[in-house]
Amino acid sequence: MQEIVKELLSRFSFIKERQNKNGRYNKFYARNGKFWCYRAFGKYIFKHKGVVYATWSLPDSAEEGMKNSIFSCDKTGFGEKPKQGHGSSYYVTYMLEHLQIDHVSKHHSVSITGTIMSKNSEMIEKGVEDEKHRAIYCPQYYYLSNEPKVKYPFCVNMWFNWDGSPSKDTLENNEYYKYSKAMLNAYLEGMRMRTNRMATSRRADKKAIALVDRAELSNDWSNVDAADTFNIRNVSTRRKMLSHFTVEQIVAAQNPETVDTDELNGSKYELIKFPQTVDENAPFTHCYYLKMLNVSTGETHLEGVAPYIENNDTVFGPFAKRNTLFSETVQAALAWRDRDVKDKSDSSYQSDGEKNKTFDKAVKVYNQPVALS
Amino acid sequence: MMKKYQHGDVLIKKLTSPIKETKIEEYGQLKGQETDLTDKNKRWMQEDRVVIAEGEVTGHAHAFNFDNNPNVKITLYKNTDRYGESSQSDTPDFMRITGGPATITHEEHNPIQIPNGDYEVSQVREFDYISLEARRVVD
Repeated sequence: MQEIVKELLSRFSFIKERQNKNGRYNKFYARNGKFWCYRAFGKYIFKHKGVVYATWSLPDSAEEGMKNSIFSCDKTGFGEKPKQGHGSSYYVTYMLEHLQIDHVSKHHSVSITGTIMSKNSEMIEKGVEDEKHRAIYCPQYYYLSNEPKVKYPFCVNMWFNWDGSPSKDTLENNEYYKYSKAMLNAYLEGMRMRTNRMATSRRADKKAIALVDRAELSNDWSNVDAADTFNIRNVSTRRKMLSHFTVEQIVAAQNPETVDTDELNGSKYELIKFPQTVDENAPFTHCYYLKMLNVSTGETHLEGVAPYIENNDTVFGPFAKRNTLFSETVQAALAWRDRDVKDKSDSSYQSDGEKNKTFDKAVKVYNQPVALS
Repeated sequence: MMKKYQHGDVLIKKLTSPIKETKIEEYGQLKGQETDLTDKNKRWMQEDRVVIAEGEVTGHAHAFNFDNNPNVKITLYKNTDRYGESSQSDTPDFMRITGGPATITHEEHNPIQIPNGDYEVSQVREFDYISLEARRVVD
């Protein structure tokens, strides 16, 4: 296809006529009869004022073809001009394929805890940010086969040089490209760190499993540290740890810090925390437990409560602001445990972002039970 | 201030307005299920008691026994969300007590009395730092 386009771009294109293998001309006249298109590679290709355009369907006119083009090409390169084409990076990815540029397209769907403010096309155009939405996702990207270390993200209104690299104008002036490139860099760096952490975690996991297996065989648990429980990912091995150590021992081994104490419901409560080592990629730094006296049984016990995350702007999932502690206090932990803070509104539908806003406005108190047993 | 009763892991919160007037709007259609003490074919009915939460392993239950609650009528409701699917827990979401107060019992907890009225029923939750998610506490 690249050959056809380059041929069309040549000064002598007007005297050439293309023939297919059967000797039939792949030449279509537009419905207004004023200009013609080549039919090739499932596209309609036509030239207008020194620029070659490709469209999915036979256009009624040159203006319509330009407006609905999949991509356009001139002597400097090819791509999608602003206010032309479909304005979608989906079509931009197609250009390299259709023009047979030797490249590899990639996309990773592993999510990484976000630190970059998420923006959609409209926000990029207006130059605004929504601080409520932080995320790192992998934009679809590509690299040229002869230069695999240099990765380029796809974006809207991208213009390529004929060797397949983004044009200087795209690199320097395209705001969509700049944002996608920042996102891609953050993602690749995040993935590199994640791979390292996973390797460290795997080593700690293997070491702890070996110690537990040895302790089981020798019936000597003196070398096993209760603190390793959180390093073990294998559920059956973790169960062995839990059958040998009490939850109190496991938590005590983490060197917990008491962050708040309170006396409520005729009982003493402590909110304790210790650094989390379960998933270093998770958006919280500490695990929180509520230590309390069960008034019915007289036993002290521990209950895990959601973490407190300072300046939390997570919108989705278990660590969304509304699903975590509103403060680092016993009362906040009890309110979370008892679901006392209502984040529902009267409206029939709320987005996740709106739910957080409703949570911000909600009265956040712990209601002590009038009867407790 | 919301009036709340806690019986082990079960929370019973007094509603400020009757169930049908407020909760239908908020949560969608409610499916009422009357469990007066003569009806033995309903979801939460057992031979001699109305069970609102039951431990899967121990079989211990938070229940209103017939003997403790003569003439008490308890209507339990399961919440149906806007997509028409019932929530996963077997615990009812709302409860109406008439002819009470009703006494709730459990093998490991002292009984408590709950006066007549409309209530929201839920269970306390805890955070599991291994699976990194919240789950219901079951005692």
